[in-house]
Amino acid sequence: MRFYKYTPALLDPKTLEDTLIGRDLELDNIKRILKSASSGKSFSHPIVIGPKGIGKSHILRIIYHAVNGEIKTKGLNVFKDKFIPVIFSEEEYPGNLTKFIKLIINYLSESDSHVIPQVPEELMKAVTLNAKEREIALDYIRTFRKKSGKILLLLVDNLNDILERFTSEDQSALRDLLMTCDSLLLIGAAPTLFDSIINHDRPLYNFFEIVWLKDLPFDETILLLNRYAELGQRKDLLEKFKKEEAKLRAIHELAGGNPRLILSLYHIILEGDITSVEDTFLKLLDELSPYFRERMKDLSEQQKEIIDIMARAEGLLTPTEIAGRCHVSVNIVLSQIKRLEKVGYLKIAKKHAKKVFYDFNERLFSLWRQMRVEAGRKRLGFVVKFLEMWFTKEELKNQFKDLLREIRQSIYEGDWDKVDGHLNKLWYVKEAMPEIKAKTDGLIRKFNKIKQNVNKMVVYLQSRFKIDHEDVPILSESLITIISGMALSENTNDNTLLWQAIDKAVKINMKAKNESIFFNIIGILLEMRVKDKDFQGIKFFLDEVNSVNQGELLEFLSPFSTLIKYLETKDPEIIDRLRHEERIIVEDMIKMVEGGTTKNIKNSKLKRAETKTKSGRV
Amino acid sequence: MEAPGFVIGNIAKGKDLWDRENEIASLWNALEKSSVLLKAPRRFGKSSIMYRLYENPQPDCTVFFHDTEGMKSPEDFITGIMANALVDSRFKKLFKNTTKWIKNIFKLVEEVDVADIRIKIREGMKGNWQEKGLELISTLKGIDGKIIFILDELPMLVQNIERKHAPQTAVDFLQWFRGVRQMPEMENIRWVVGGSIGIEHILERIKAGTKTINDFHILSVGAFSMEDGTAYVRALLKNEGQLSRIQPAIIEKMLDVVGAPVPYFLQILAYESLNEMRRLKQRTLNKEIIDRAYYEKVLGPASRTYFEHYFTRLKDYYDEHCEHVAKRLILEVARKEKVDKTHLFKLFRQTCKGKLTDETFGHLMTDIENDFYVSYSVKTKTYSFTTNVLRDWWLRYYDLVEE
Repeated sequence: MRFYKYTPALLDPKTLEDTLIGRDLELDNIKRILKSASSGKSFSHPIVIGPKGIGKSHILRIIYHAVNGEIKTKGLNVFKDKFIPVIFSEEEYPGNLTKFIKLIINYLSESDSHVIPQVPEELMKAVTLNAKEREIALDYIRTFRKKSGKILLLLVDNLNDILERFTSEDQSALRDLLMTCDSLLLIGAAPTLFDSIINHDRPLYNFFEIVWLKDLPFDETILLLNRYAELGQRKDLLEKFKKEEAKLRAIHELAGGNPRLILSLYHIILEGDITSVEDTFLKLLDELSPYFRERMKDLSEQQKEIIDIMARAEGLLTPTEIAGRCHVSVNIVLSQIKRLEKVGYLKIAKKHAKKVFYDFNERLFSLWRQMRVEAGRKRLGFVVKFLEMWFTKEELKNQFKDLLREIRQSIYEGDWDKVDGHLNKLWYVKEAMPEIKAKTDGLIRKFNKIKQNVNKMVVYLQSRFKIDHEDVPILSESLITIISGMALSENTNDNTLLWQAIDKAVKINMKAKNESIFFNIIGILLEMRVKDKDFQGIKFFLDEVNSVNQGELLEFLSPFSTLIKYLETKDPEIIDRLRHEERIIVEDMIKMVEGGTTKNIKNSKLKRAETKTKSGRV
Repeated sequence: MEAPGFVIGNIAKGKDLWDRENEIASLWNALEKSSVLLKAPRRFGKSSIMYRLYENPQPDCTVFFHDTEGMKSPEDFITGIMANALVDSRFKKLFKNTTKWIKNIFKLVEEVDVADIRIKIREGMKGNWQEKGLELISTLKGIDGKIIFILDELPMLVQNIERKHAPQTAVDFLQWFRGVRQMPEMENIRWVVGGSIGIEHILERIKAGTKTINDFHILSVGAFSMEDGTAYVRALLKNEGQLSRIQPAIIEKMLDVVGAPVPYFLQILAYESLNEMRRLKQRTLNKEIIDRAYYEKVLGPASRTYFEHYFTRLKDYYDEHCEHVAKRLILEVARKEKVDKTHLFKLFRQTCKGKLTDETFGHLMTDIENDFYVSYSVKTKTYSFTTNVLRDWWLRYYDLVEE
């Protein structure tokens, strides 16, 4: 679905507009600035500030497309003929002002707009700008409006990353450019206030107009969810949203009004797609790690401890509760919390009677910290909470059953990545259903054990039969298929999957050059079925082999056919009529069935292999 | 007067610069006799006032505006101010009877753009900026009428030179610059120097002495009068808030909250109040909205940066002990709102525990007053905070810190 993206740059203008909820105030402020700039009045340069996932890139993209006249959001398209918008891609981090300017020139050079003043040739050719070219570039920007009648509108996401790399001189030169030149309007975005704009000693101190992007309020969270459902033409969900206000409120609390989190929760609602949501978030949190780690560096040990305690907590805490958990006085905690509030980490979430509950300002930060605090647990507690809130017990039970089925199927297919994905999902579902927790933990252990055993067996069989290099892929696939199926059958007393697996393996194996190895493996596996006295299974399998017209294999497996015949009739003549070599094999198996030992099986296997080699059938 | 709009951070030009006629008139008056040093804390509107001279020069005056904060050497300074002058068509005749290297630059003016000129000037000055710079600036002496160079944030330039080169280079520059200003034949050139960081502190640090700037006429930019503040807020709300009817009580409330009507703070409060009003989907302002905007936005963690430097810069100005005493005295004024001078002196003695002389109290309080923390009322012999916003901020963030 088209809005299934976390990267606004990948969305088309219409979708961006359709999924923009709220932000009227913020866009009004931007509009005011665009209006002032375009009508020759004084204007501020704004920076949109808000935590990750709050929609900064979304807003910048909206401005870009609206000023380009592609959409009409908030009537920003009226500025179509007044500005030439240039948007930096998120990965562009010019390390100094010269590179910054060069980047602008590059964007303009590539533009096919006819109204852009001719970019001087030496600038277009230059890979980097020398002192002279920088002066020429600066003059080009300064005179842009005079020459074109338009203002260059720069939209720069992660402006903090760019400005923090600039030297003070570069920052001053930029300030000078922005302050005295009416050809340029810069709209930046950053996840938080940063040193270059808040440090009194820096040239750009308090220079920008801060446009705060706040969490969405509850009514806008509902609007956003409804909008997704509308766009996906999911009438059922629209109906459900109408009826489930309490649940929606819980989702809102959980996502903290962060649009990116809301979107990810919507994915789970829509498809139960826990794994992909989790993957995306873990990836996102990993990407954010350097940024959050940098932020943590500024904190004292005590402040870090407070943050960790809050991240680990099951809900919101009061300063008294935090003090109790970190064993220091409430006054100390209070003073540290005040400081954390001041630097933007925490906020007062709610006041109830005399109690004040604190929460993280950035929901993603708390998730990141939670992951780090709970060592080794790379899972997201908020997904569990969401499942508990949103799905009924019955729905969760159904998901549970579906998952078990899918796990079995994936094991049979030998697709261990899929198995891992399903097991991961199963973890979330069982966490959300405490009553099945113990049972599911057992199942998860069992599936993991199967996986381990199967892997071991595959390695063993491959090494024992010294499979030719070119046969490895085919044989491996058939081996995994059979062994997986067998492993599953062992645990469920249901052989269907095993036989399906063998059937599939037989078909795969027809492509292999060295079929003797495969025959031997089948033999070993069938012996193991004999040990388990799964005669029905063996019979079924032989019928299957017969049905897929594998005459040679059937002949190779004739001792098993004889065994079955004998066990069904108990007629000793069946054994007597056998040739010597085959009789020994069958007798060994009969001994195994009627009280045989491991030793017997081993001997029997060896004998059989030797005998068959001698008999020239292989 | 036309209605102003919000201009946060950038220079307020045209109608957006509200009612600074007195300051502008004082500036023009002072410029009749000497160059001017315009002092004010950051965000008091200094740059906008200076920019007005550039926007609306008096007849026979040519005004150039330079933000010198980005310059880092005397060469940058000379290049910056002269390149713009050179491309001004009115000045072309000046360069005909001058030295070869300047003539060469002048030739460039006919042929190429300002970028080349800057490079040529820089090359021409290599190794001898004092002499060559003087030579270049001296070409301006023959101009009819006055030239006014506005240099915003000059103290930052001095600080940059000190850091990038050496304190002595900064002293040399200041002395050279004073020499330029003092040349009798340069009587037609005036300089308006603006600076928000305490230039005296920088001079003291680099040991330049105040004589390097004592020829400047010093003007300070303060807050609006209450009357102007009232009119400004009304105009701002009307224009930006599209409010047709604004209760006088609302404007009073805003002025009351901010205290001394510094335009920047009035603007920030009006901006946040209108945002809050819209956020709450209200159609008009009320006192609760203003309080909320003030305490949660203007003073809130998100805006802590407005005043952070007032706290942190004390560390740069004083040694550890003196810094501690200064902070304690400021905190006392914040807590008590109005503090009797003798009470403060007693507290000074108590806090410094004999480590500072009694005379230091006078210096300290003068510094604190000069740096716009507190104001002294001769009439009541009391100190109080210059702005309510700063006082409330201090109490919010540093009440517990410096006991």
